[in-house]
Amino acid sequence: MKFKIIYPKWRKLEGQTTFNLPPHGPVVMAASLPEDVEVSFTDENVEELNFDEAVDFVGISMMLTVQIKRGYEIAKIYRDKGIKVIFGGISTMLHAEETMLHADSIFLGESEGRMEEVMNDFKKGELKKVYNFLNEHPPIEWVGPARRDILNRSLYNHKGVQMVDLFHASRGCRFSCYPCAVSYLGGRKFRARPMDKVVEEMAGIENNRLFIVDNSLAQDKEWVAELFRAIAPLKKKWISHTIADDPEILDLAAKAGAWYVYQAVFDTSDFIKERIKRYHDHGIGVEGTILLGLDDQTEDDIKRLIDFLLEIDLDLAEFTILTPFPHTKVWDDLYRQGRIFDKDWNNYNAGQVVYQPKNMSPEKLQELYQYAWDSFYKDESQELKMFKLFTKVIMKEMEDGTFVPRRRDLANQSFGKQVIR
Amino acid sequence: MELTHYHIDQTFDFKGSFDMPSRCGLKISQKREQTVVIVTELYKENPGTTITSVTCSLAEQICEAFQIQPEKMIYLECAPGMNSKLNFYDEVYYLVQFDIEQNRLTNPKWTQLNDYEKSIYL
Repeated sequence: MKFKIIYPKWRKLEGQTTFNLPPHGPVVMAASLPEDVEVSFTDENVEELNFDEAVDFVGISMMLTVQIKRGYEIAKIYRDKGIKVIFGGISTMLHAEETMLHADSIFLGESEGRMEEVMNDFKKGELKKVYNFLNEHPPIEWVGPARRDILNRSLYNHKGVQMVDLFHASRGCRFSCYPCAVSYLGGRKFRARPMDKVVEEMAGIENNRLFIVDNSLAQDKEWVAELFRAIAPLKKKWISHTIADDPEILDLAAKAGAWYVYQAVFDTSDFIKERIKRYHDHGIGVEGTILLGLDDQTEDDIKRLIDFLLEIDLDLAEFTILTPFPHTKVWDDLYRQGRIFDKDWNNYNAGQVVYQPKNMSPEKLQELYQYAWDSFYKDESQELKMFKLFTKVIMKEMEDGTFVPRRRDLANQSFGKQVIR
Repeated sequence: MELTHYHIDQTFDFKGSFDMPSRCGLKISQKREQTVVIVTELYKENPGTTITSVTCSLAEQICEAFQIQPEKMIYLECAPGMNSKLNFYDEVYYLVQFDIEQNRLTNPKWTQLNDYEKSIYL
């Protein structure tokens, strides 16, 4: 039986450097499929989807809200041909009721130990409308190495430079951050994978550069320290979300290959300034993630925040507009207050205002978003700042002998397309 | 951040989206002929869906569990304070009004309560 997994494309934000990373959800899900299932995978962001390929069953994996309308379009084409379609992934969970209207079946929750049932039901012609495992997380020990073999790796390459591979060592999040739905999706209990399995999988990835996509590396200091000690001998270099603010942990992170972190910058306090400095003191770069449009921000606050970002010497900054994704406190607050005016999911890309801000007009917030990008990268472009960060990782790799030169055969290609020079 | 909860007498387990086990704070009191129901979001202590994402269903579940007539219910949602300097974590109360037909609640409308209105209901 041939199961086609599709990762729908989405419209990228204008004016920003686009990098296509190999998706994580599909390869993790593929690892939980029974052995007799033949898998074919297409990431529409890097290659055309061939609707004429002979397949028995289609799975549409959606991570982002901006993927769902395209997901529905794809599903319709297959269903019109009489091919059954099941949806899964984060956005399916966030938009479950709506997605059901476009699917033969939806899968909610984590797939380990569940796909046997789904595939057997499909073979018997008894596919259920909903496979609901939202509150039944499988034992974390069941999470096996992701099936990265289904990816066409050369498509995740920019001018010979391989993009980072995504990897996770834990699930769940004990925090309840304002704009985030992670605790709804993965549960509020932090669940760490067995360390031997983490090391085994990481060692097996044919890429020295990774993105550890765990929700936070600040949830359990003892575990984080153990993780860093365990992976240090692998000499991988990695990006991650926030790391615990502790000198010993940061030291271990640096020794374990921390390249740079995504760190939320939400005010202009000395605490933030010192936090960034502490990363830098350990040789860890920082990409600030800055949310614009919060109810406590005025136009002046946003402008002051951008000046502050330039003062604290961030390596990179990523600006996003507050977006009310379902199952977040933001959604609850704005929905109750009747402030959400745009329900077109294609606009939920965190670069477009879809709600009425408290202290300014939507147009003004949109303008400030553009101002933020332009101001931060005025003297040094995003490409140049990225290049500097990239140079740092090359230096580290050269020091410990792990540097792999770029692939010359792909030097004229970017994400599967010929580069016009 | 620890949440403040001044109006919780008990916790109530309810079915959230897709029957997801969920929990909220609950206080029920009588004001003359009417039953005032205060439902509080518990954030970290709520393992499932938020009270606002399933407002109608939650209100129906409470009516059924406590034998409350929907027509005589004043339904308040509380987003408790989180002891944070960020103002979107301040404590807020909403009066939720529904269309009611044969004990089915639909079309919720939220109105944020000011201090005077809070003093009437709380």
